[in-house]
Amino acid sequence: MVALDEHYVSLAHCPRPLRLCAFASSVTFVGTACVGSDASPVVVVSGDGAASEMPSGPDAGGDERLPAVGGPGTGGDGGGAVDATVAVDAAGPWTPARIAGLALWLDGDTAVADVNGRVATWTDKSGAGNDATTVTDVQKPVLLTGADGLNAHHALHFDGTAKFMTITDKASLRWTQSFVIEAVFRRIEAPGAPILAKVTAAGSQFNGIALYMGTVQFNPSTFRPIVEINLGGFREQSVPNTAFDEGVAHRVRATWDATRPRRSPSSSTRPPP
Amino acid sequence: MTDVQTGVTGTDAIGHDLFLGRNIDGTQHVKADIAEVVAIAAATIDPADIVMLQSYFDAKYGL
Repeated sequence: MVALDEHYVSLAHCPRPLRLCAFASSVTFVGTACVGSDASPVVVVSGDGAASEMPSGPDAGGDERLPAVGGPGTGGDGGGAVDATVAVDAAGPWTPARIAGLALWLDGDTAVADVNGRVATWTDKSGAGNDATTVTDVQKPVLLTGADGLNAHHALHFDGTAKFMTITDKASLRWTQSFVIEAVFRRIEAPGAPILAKVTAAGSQFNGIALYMGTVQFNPSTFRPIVEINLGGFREQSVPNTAFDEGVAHRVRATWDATRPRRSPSSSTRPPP
Repeated sequence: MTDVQTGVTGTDAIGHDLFLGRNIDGTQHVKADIAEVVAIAAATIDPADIVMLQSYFDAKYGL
């Protein structure tokens, strides 16, 4: 997304040039960008070349220099303004909220635990109001944070015996058109079990959609993501080539093009950094 | 959506709640840690959104 070439910084999808003011050495600098009069986000550039966008502040307006982070000379021998072309998306960093047709977005980082570390309601960030809820304490998944989380992010622990959550049926969850379901999770151990299921019945004769992690019939020792889309007994399973290793983060995606039960899931199995 | 082979109305599962972490009948509990779930449903889904979503997850979780 961000590239730093000497004093020049660019971000993808740059709609407007900005004048970057930085106090820089010849190689590294720490600085704060000037922004235009339209109060675009400020771009903060760190010494390693990474850049991040920050909300506009009181000083964001106007084509004037802002104080360098840490003051003049932080990055070396001091310096002046450098002209740079900086791409700034005024809407801020990309998130799933920008997706047209977003029906559900459950983010562990914004899940709230009770005093016992359990999550009663996982609030949907899509705007559709599809919050996942539980009824009893024994059902509530446990919020994992810090080192217990998933690659430095919070996650909800489902114990394989009692934990689950429910999202009440409503129109925005009745996926009769094209759909995409994507999830990030860490498998611990389990036989075939659904990460997500919106079905009329269990077993093989249901109608609906289920995103499983499970065993492949011809190789039950290997866990893989399985997407099932069933229509009155017309059942299809999709099994990618990548197995679900235990204890590492996986991303799995299920897609359907609305023309017939068909899935094209993908997964990532790279270990945590 | 009606399945062209069976004539049965299907994927919407009207009247049935969505479950996270187990099946509808109370079986098949998941033993896993779920960090994030996103679902998109529309007549047309922009392929660029799918690419961005994958990049978002991969960058966020170091995948």
